[in-house]
Amino acid sequence: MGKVSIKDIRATYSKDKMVSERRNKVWLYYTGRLPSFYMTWLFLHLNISANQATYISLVIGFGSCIFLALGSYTLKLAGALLASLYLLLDCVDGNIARYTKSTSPFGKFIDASASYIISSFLFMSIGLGTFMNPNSSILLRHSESFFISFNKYIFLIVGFWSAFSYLLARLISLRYKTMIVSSSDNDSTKHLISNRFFQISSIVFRNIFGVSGFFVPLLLLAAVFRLLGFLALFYAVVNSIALIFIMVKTTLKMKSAID
Amino acid sequence: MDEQKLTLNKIRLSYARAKRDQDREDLWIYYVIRKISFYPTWLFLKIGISANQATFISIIVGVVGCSFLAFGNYATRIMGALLVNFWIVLDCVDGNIARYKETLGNYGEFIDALGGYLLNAILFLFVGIGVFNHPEPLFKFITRVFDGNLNEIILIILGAWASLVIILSRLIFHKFMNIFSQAQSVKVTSGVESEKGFSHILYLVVHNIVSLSGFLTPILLLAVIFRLLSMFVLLYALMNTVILIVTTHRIILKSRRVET
Repeated sequence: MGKVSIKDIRATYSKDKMVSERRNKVWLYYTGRLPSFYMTWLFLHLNISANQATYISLVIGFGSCIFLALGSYTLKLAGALLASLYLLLDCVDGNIARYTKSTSPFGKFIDASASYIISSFLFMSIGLGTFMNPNSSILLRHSESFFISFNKYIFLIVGFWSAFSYLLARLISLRYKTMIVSSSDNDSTKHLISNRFFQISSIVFRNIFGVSGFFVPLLLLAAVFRLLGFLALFYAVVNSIALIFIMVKTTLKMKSAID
Repeated sequence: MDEQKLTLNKIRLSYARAKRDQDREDLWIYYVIRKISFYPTWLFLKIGISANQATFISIIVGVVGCSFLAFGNYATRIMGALLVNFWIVLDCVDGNIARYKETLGNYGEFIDALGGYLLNAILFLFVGIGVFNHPEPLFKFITRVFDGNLNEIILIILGAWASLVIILSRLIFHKFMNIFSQAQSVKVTSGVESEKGFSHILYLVVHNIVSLSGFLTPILLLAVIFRLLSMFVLLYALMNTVILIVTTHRIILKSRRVET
């Protein structure tokens, strides 16, 4: 392999991908993309392949989950930082694959699977962390000053709920995409997108849903200000809304594809 | 459709032509549920309920059943388990109606799948919540053995874990299908079947215990009647984890093979 330059790595980052990322993953685009090129440069020098980078990101993601679930204040902070590192590495494997022209179905598959596993485990572990260490949560320490008295068990359920409403939403939209691709007439389903309200809400939605949007900065803030319990509640609501939204949207679109 | 000629035999025939071979692996469906399902199918056709309406009815029945399991006492739990068993019958009915009236389509297939995912996802969690609310004698005994170090909360964790893991393994499986059926024009079938011998038998056994179309629903009913739901939750938390690991492992091996 010849000399690796940052410029060459950047060149592989296509315009289409950039445009979609600037809209749908604002945080990643403005803070994560640039560091990811340097990281890619480092990994290429160390001769780490794209798939190996995915495995490394998986390990780091798991580490982040364990810290968030079992740690005290400082470890949780470290967990939140590891989560941002995970997100960075999640870009790096794609960069490496594009640079070395080794994109493959297998690579795509493990990348997607790793992100399903880590995303759901992250949601689960912020709830679990509040449950395991209730003294570190502002919501639980001052629970009598809220309208609802918070019981620590609630956070456990909340964490699990947000993890699997996330996965279920993903599963349903994946099934939908598979069916739409396999049936040829997918043009008739485009009319919903033209609505301005839908456009904006879909951009907001894509930036909040999942862990590659504003989840990571919110996680850092929550870890600093001891608000991880609040974040768990927030994401339980977000993911439930996402689940209902995706269920209704895909069902309506499926129906309109037939009529 | 000529209403006068609507008979059970015709419904059976429309099933036999299209679906029979696919069902063979799901023993419980094949030998019991499908046979029962012809009667409600006949009734639904008589009343004029479409296949998609039947799917929606089945989803409501299933969700109500699961809620009974989560928030009820012994009697309502039995009701809940019966409703979940009825759900699996209705899940066959919508397909029967679609085949009989020849209205099979993507939309029907999609909402049918959606209902299945939803039920699969909430069932274990709701059972876990149910046993947390009303601990059973067996579990109380076990906690006494552990000297009070074991909390009922473990039941919610196990239930939620079982739910989470089963969706995760389905998601990974579907991603595999999605990516590889687009990348290659080869027909990618399920990652686990298509093998013979011992591993195939093992697959059949596990598949029939774990999947909702297997013996899960009758096992649930028995567990409710004999107050063994905590064991039910434990069993499925373990089984589903094994399924996740085995499916992921096999799919990774298979996708490597497809690629080279």
